Amino acid sequence: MEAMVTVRMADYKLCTAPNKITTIGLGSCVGIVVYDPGIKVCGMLHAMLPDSTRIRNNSNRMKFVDSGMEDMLKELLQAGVNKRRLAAKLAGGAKMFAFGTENDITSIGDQNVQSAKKMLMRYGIPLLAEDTGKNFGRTIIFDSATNELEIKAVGQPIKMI
Amino acid sequence: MGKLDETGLDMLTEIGTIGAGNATTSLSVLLDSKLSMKVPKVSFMNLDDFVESIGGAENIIAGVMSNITGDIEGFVLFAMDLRDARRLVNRLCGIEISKLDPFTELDLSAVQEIGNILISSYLSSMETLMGMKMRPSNPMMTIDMAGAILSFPAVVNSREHDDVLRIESQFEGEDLSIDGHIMMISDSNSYKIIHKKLGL
Repeated sequence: MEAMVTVRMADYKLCTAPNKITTIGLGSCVGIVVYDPGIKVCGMLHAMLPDSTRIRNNSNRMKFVDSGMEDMLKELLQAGVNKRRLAAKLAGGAKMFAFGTENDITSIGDQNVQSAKKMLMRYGIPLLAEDTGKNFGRTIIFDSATNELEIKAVGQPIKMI
Repeated sequence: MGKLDETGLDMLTEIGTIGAGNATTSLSVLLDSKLSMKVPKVSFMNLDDFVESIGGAENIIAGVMSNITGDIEGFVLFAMDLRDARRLVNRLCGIEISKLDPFTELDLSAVQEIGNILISSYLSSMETLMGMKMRPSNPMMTIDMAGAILSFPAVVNSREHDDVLRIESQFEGEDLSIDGHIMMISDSNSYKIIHKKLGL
């Protein structure tokens, strides 16, 4: 019997085939999936902010793209994934609101996407597909058996990447 | 997590009541329809509970949101169920109430305008009451999953705090079946400032 693992905001979880893993209502947050197609184990991170080094309130490591990915990768390696086989898919990072205020809050989505790409590059994990940016929320479901990422958005057909 | 003492709770409930009271009065005039308001709910919430707070993260809502800067910082959000937003527009535009057509550009700008009016009257009565400056940005409207909409203020807030101060007011139509939420989303820092300002 396959199960659905749910990843909440500022959280990551691991998942093994035939189970699926999901996170709901990504707005400016990013969903990063890192998987080993060989042993069919994956991890999904739902991060809210790009960079833990630029924020004082950084004790919750899963809130950030950089520290969240570091911890998730550690746990994936403990679960026996082969570093050289790892691949990634990325979704979210929308610009939900454009308030026209001076601060950089409206570009958080974009900063999250850039940070995720930078981290993947640093770890040498190829980014095989992404559905990022624009101005709408996304619910994502990753199937560890097929390595497909399903993306649901309001008023749009389901997309598989 | 921020803490609410008894006086703080009373104070914010009162502020929420007056803000939302004025806002629903303006809406009531606009719609020529009676609206009644529930007692506001005031709480500090963790981020997860907050994004789940309007019928679950995947519930589709129409939301109009404004970013507040000034003496305190945060967001004001006017949100309603899609079906209720449709009924509201129907009422305003003289369309048969039960019709559930897809939103046109004009309908959407009507929702935005309603949100605009509600948010301005909400904030201006709060400003008067507390003697504070709260400058709203242009309100932005979107129709999306509640999680995607609510996560935005949560993300902004999370740079400093891991919980959210939420003052939530709800109104419903008496002769018209609509149910709306007006909420102020802020943080423990702003709570301290309000506390001090009101001399409690």
